Amino acid sequence: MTFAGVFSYLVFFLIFAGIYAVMTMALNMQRGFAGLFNIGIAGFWAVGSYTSAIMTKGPSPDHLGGFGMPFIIGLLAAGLISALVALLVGIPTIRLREDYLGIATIGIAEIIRLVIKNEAWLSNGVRGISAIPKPMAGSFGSNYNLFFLLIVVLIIALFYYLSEKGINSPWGRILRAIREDEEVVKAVGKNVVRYRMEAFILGAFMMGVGGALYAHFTSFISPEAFRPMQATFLVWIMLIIGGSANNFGSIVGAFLTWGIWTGTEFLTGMLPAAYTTQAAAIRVILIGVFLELILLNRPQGLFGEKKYSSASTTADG
Amino acid sequence: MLRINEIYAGYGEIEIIHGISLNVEQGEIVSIVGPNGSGKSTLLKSIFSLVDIMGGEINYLGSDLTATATDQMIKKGLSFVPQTDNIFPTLTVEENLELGAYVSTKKLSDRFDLIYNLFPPLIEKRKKKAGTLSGGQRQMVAFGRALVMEPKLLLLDEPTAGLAPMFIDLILEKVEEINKTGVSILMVEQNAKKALAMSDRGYVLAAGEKKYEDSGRGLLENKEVAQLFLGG
Amino acid sequence: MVLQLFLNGVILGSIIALGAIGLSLIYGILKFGHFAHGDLMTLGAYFAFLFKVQLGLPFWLAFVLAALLTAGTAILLNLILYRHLKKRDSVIVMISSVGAALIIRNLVLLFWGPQNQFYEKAIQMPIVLAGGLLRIKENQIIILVLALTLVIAVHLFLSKTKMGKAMRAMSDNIDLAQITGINTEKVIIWTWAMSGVLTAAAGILLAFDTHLTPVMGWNLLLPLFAAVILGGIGSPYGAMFGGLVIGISQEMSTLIISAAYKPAVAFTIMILMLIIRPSGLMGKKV
Repeated sequence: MTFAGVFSYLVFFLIFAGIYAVMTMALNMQRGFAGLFNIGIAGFWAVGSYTSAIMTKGPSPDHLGGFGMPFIIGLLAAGLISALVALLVGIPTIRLREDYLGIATIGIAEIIRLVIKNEAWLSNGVRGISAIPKPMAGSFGSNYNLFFLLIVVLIIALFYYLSEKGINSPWGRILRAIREDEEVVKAVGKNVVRYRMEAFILGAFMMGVGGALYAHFTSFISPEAFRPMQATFLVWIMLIIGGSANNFGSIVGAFLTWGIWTGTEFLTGMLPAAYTTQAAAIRVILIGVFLELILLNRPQGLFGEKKYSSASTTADG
Repeated sequence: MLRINEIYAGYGEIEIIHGISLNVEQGEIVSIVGPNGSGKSTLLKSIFSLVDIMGGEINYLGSDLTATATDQMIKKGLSFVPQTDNIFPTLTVEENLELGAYVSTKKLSDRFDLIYNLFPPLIEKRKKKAGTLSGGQRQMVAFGRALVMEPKLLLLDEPTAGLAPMFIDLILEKVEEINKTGVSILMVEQNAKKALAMSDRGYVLAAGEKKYEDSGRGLLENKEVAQLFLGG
Repeated sequence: MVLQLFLNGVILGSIIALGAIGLSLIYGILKFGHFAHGDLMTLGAYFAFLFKVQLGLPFWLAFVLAALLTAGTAILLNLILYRHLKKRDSVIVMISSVGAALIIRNLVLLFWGPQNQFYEKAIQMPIVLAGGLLRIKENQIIILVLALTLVIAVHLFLSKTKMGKAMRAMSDNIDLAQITGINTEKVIIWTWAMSGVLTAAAGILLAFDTHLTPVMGWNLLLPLFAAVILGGIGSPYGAMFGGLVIGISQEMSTLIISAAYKPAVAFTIMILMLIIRPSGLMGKKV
């Protein structure tokens, strides 16, 4: 492979890893800071992807659309609709035990998949949506992906900054206090459910934006374009490796895990072409075993939980 | 029969009991009283290894309880009635009693009759789910479950907690009745005066330490104890 | 039409019920949702495929061997994963079970491939009943009989045997079970074994009714959880009832909504239950 080839592959790799980093930071907001159990990441991802695609594309006979909105509006709409879905799932379940939320998120992800698959007027069904516009397409020639990487990096930086700021604010301190001792926070009269809900919605917003980035970069989305459980699972592995409640760890965990995941592709790529199905299965088995080993042997991840200042001050703010 | 020597116990890193010694002799009723948070329940639970033991010895009929599995304790005639959640709510009254005999390989149905004699209201409820009973009846089921194995020493953690006044006296009477059949009793009780009045001996705990130790009557007549712990 | 849908619902419901009993008991005793339950079902069905179709054993023997192997797998999962993780946050155990689910599904994919498989190729002529209103295949009668037999067996086990009572006791109140001298580790192993057998049976019966695919169990996971929550976590009888309700509702729903949205019915019932009565119809307070 030439240097240019390696470089362009690296950029491609970093964009995907970066999108996953957005997802991992989003999950960290929900799980790391608020202790919420979301295993329907793929659902929020899909909502973000489809929303932004429909908002930004020109008229198409195949599905809802024709709004032709700018990229940035697509991203915002993706985040907002995803947040709205989170609100709807959260209302009945967030005040209950954490596992109920987990089951409900699987359910909502499944329903979202069914809607996308069956409502052709909306999403063109199994054929998916293609030719999703890229922001400033054609402006950077062969360096376009580098430009897209810049967008991804900017979004990561923005979310990182906002998450850190949020988590160090009085709001964030209460959130962390809830994770440590819910009863104490209740005792000082804070509405625990509200804080949880806010973290869930914020995380869902970030997931929606991540989904939008994915749609614009790949230009094509369909219900079968990525395996939902696999995507959800990868994000969880990234979070666990990075250490819970640690935004920096989340980002590193995402890049590292994506590296390992891509590595398994090289590994199974050595198998003859006739074995593609088997190769894909082997990859998932390997990453699954990898997660179990991490859970058993290094539960705190590589970076552990970040110590934020005055984590247990519950009465103020 | 039970000798606790300088026991230190608590939860995880937190030590709640700081070196308490206590003993129960054959046939006695012994009460542990003291204010909330004094470590009464923790002390009782330490006997059954339900809390973390950090030091000291617990000897029951010659064997070291800190190194004994629960089923062995029960086989040696030790039984524990927890303060709350002391029944299996979706199981019938009879099944609750059967589980009391879980570690036994023998059929113990004749023991059930003794328990129904002790607590007649349970007879007609035997096929009912225990969770549907009243508070007093639940307590009877809890006692029954603990009595099936014919224990030599019964540990009671606040047996009257949360009961209506009419049941409090009833349950305490039953405790005396059980004692008369030869079962030694060690109990933690909120109703300190009533408990001490029926006890052979008592211990007063405060802040995880033993403050007084005397006969039940002795403690009741002790002015200091009365003022500090029995509400004047 | 209505009668036919109801019958289909009972068949699906019995299959869900079989899977949900074990899921509910594990949930009640070990306090975590076992997300690999659907995929254990798949595995059971494929084990039976291995013995019946690939090795040519009689159906009953394939059934028994597959149930035993699945029980073994369930015990193994507990031994190498869940037992070590249970002292920690329940989310960690649940994520580990999601991992186990993916590993199992992909092992199935690896060994048996993604295509649909069948226990038997011959097409059965349905028996027509009630003057043409009701059609039932011989296989479906066998499914109903087997499911009913298993449910009765489970009932006898839970209500008559010491181990069965200990299981229910642990699901009710694990601390008291310990104080009572119940060997909790042993009961947990038995619970996994029983769940494994029932889950395999559910998978085999489902495949017997339709066909085998690597995602067959995963697709039933949501109905399984819905049945458990509807019946009350930890209540095996609640799970049986919940399974029937979910199965019948899913099939009957096609009268009103598109068949494509059948899985959404389980979800909707579950959410409604969580809003109205989170402890389930037969559960204790959670």
